[in-house]
Amino acid sequence: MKALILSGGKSSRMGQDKASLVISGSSLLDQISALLKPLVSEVFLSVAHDDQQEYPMTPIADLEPQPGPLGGLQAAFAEDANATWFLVAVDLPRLKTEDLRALIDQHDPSKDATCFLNPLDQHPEPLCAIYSPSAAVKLESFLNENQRCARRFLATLNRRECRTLDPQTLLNLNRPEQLVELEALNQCGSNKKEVTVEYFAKLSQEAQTHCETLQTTAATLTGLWEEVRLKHGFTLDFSHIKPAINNEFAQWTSPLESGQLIAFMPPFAGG
Amino acid sequence: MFVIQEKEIDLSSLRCEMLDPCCGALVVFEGLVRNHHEGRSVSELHYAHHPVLAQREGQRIIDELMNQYPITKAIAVHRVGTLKIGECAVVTLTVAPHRQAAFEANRFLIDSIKARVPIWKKETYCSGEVEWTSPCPNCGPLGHSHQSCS
Repeated sequence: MKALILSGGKSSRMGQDKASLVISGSSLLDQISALLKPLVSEVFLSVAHDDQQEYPMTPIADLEPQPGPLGGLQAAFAEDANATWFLVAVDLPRLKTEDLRALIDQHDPSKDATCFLNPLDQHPEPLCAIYSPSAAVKLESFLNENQRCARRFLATLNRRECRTLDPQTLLNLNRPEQLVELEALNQCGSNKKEVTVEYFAKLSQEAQTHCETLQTTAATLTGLWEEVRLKHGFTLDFSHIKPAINNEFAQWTSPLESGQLIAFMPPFAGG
Repeated sequence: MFVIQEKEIDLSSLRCEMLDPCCGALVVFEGLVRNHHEGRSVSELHYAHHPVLAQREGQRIIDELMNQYPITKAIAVHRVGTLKIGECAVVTLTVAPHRQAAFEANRFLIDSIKARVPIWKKETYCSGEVEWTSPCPNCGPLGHSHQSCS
């Protein structure tokens, strides 16, 4: 089995390249490659088609500009069509050796893919998954139909689905606020808290409730929003929501504590 | 003073409260329920609010207003619940010795209420559809001209 790390390029929302983000003393790229090296025969790095930089591991360049994450997998199968490829995004900083080993142990070569179900919304997670050689042909025809969505591609494959132990395992880093969430989780661990969450207007309609009491392991409002967004399928983006704690406006990076009353509010429309 | 209420707004008694012998200017803005939104016919509106935060934030706006403008008094009343076309949903009154401050403070007051107070509007259309409306994305605290989104 070979591994391919998706570095994702420069993140506009994060404001910098995610692979070189340093958390707890080392870069995300160094952390994920250190986890993978003992588990697979070789670790490769997915890079843009015109990337000439030097990397501490063998790069695999995309075959075309801006192909999305599936372009990385396509290039990996072009490199070695007979290999089983473990595709891992660089921005999953909560992944642990046990998670990666569990996926490898449960991999079934007769299936196209082995993947985690995202514990927050029960969808198969395409960017930390093992793809068998049988997935290569299906990927070609998927891309030939001009489809680019990795989640949708994984949904078309016959696959083995595995569960993660910790609901925060697949926490994804897209915004600076999520970095604060991650650092808080690293410092204090995933402690269970009970909070009451109120939803207003469109959010209460989508959640089909105005108020609920939740057990959460999230550390800040950002982590809690991510949980409830996936749970209820909220359509509004984080940037449009205003949060409150105990009836006062709050920052997304505010820490969560048991017993708090949280409110998530869509854009105001009075007058 | 900032008030959120379900009952109809009694504008004449609010006006009486504002009158002050040293003031030469009273500006009143009334926000009315309109029968159309983005090209669709509206039959009624429902306003919801965050009961604690809406009151708190509204009062904060009034306090800021009194510190920032040379005015004597300001009142804003916002209705919640179900309103019919033509009814008054919000009213802002500012009174000052001179008209410029009364006008400017009133504009700040209504724009700030729309931008900062957690109140939401659910529109019932003549087609029977019901939708929580999004605010016009161009409506910042400074306001803008509404040629395109009427």
